[in-house]
Amino acid sequence: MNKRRWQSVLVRLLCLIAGLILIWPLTSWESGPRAVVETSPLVAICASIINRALGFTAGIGIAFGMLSILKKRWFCRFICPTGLVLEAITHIGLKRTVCWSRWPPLGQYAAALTLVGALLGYPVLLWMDPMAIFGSPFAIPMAGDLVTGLLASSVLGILLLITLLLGGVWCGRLCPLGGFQDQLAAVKPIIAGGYQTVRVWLTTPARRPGKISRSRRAVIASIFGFGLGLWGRNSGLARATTEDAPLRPPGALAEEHFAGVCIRCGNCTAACPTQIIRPDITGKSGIAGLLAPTIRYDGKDYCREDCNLCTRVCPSGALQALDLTVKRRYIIGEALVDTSMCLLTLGKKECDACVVACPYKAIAISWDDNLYVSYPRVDPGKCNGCGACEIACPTNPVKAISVWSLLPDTMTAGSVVEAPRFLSG
Amino acid sequence: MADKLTRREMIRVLTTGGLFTAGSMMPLAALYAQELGSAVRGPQPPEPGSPKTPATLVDGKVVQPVRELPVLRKTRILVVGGGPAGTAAALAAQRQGVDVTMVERYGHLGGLATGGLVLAIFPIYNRDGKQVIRGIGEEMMQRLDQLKFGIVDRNKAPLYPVVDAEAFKYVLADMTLQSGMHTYLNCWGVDAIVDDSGAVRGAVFESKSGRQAILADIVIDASGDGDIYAAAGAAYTKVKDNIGLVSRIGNIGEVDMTGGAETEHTSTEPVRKRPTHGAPVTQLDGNMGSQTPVPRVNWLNMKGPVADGLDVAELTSLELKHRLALWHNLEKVRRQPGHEDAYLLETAPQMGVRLTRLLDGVQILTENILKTRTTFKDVIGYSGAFANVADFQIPYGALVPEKIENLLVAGRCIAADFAVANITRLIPVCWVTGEAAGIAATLCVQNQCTPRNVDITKLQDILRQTGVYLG
Repeated sequence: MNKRRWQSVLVRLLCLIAGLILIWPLTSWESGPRAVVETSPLVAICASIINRALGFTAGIGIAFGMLSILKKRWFCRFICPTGLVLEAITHIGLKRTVCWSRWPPLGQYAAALTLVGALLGYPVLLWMDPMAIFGSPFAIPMAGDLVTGLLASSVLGILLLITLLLGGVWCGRLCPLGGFQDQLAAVKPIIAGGYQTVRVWLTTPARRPGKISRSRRAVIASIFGFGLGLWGRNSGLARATTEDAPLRPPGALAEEHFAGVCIRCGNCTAACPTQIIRPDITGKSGIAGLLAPTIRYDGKDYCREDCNLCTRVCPSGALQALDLTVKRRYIIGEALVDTSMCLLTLGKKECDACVVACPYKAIAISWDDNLYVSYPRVDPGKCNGCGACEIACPTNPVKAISVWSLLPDTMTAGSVVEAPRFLSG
Repeated sequence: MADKLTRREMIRVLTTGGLFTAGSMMPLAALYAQELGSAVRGPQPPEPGSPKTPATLVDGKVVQPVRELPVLRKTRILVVGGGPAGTAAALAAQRQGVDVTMVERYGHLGGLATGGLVLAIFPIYNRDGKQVIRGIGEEMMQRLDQLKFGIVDRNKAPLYPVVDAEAFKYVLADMTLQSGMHTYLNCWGVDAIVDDSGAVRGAVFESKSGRQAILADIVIDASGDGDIYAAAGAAYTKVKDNIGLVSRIGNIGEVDMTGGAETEHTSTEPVRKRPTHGAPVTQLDGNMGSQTPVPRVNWLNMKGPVADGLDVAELTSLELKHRLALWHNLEKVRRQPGHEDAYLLETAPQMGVRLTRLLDGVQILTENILKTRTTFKDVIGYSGAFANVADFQIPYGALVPEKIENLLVAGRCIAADFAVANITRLIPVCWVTGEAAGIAATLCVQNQCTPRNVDITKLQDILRQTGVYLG
């Protein structure tokens, strides 16, 4: 190994350690995990497009993208911790001849597909970004159970496996971030040669059949991405069942966009101090919704009124960053009472556990003159679906009060950038 | 015409007969008039306690003329109300050797604990299951222990004891008679008697004997609604709370009726299904209530709607509607297997009025005080832990009105905010405030001081001696 290579390994090792420190998180910087994932230029650009805004953390990633224009695959060489890990594995993996050297640059097509999709609010393959994959194992201890945790970081597992079997195929051909950097590097001669180069490049396709072919494929991929994005936006890949759709963390985009925008990095799951954000392995929200984060109130805790961490760590914009006051008004779902199980309604006990537990004073005991019973009534204007009532309810195994997703007709239809459901005032 | 009387003869006979009767049979006639209820016309001799000064209609307004009231008794300590707080206060004071008079609106003692069928003795334990309410209430429970079917689930924390209302009435009648205090039942305290300085000197009562006064050195308002302190002009907060009508169902089938457990399986089909928004739509099964000490008899709690417990029209309308609902519930209970022969044993003689007036006392117990677990120098007892609230101290200041003198308050109408009053209104906590008010009143009488100047150390010493838990 030459000196340059050692330098590269050393810098990436430092980046790996820095990434671990930030994503763990061992610092008090709340947006640390987000910054780690957004160092990826592809994530940074897609997120900026989706959010229609350029944040500080995304700015870093875009700066890295600029460097990749000047220096081919700069990010791979000096930053990418996932690449470092995979490279280390190639040394212990099966030493085969590079059977994939003739494979087309699939990563470039993936990048093109994703970027064009992002323009339409659906970054199709952004979940394949190495920085998103890097974060996923940190959610394992917080995912509720080990199986869910392992499933949620299964992309990393697949990566490790193909690296063991096929060596460096991921970095060389499959990685969308690698492909994106290749595309960026292709811009360099345009900048250097100016208009003339462009003219030559555009008008003499016949002399460069190989490259033209690749460009054409990239264009096809882009068109495909456009189509997918359009479909994802309009029809919705993630078509949740309306009666019992999964609850999403605070700041989540409307359900029809959320699953597409989420890159499954696991940051929100790892960040949640009450461990209520879990990757969805139920398939309730369709294949496109697999492993996207859901909220489950089956433990002892709820979505705390003094916490907005999950909204701070999302790199993709699937969870919009919300101030605490705004987050308290974000509607996760609505608490509904099944009076056929409620101890108070049944007259079994003067129970007011949910009333007392509600941090927003959204539940009051009401009187029904027809049934001649008292029952807890939820004020939909005050309830944000935090789940405090659900965990306080003493009935089991099924709770008499529980949080359910809003029905579609009560949702505000809107564009992707609109965080859709808030309590007024 | 010999068998017929002329008018003149008739008059003569009647006159002589009348004179004879008036002369010789007068005492007998008076006796007959009383016992057989025969109508004696004309102006009557004044009955005790009922001066005939009726209200008059003047310019469309009903005016009650100024009148002197007969004084039924002069006593040292007058306890208005014979519920949990009143009986505890009167018994505690009488045992200190001071003359006590207790008046009660209903024909039984025990208030809502008996007449209201609030049979659960709750809350008496702290979170560790230690009984923090003792004293005279514990003595009552020990007496109930001696009776068959008197009380169940004693010393089984976190389960709470449940009493039988009739057994409890018996125990209280027995204790009251033994103590030697003066008791008047069916006697409704309607007004305070205040002197020139505004200090309370007694109270006015309405009964079958008419409107009468009882004069006292110290008055303890254990009326539950703060009727006496309101009449005396003390500051208070008026609140509305749920008002239900508790009942007992007899001939309940032999089914598992374990009540009071912290969690309960309520669903036979544990299926999570999306409920509809808003009011309950489910047709509910009949409510069978929970067990009492008496076999095959359950008591059926009712929370009821929020209403004004001081509004007679509202109370009347509720009581009538509650009765219909209880009968409809009974019919549903009978449709359940094993309960076909269930019957409505009784509805509570007293409506379940929870909170009406809350005193503005020297120290108002607030939710915040409970949250910070504040301790008081003038602690006179504890409340047990209730739901998510730990056991807490009750200060003497909560029994003393801000301004009015010679008046102590005990029971549900003491100085507390609505959230805390939801706990201090409960039966055992009323025992605690009642007992402390009774002892404090005796100290006032013995040391000739007003309630706000009572020697707290001495009060606490006596309370400890009588078995009250002060931490």
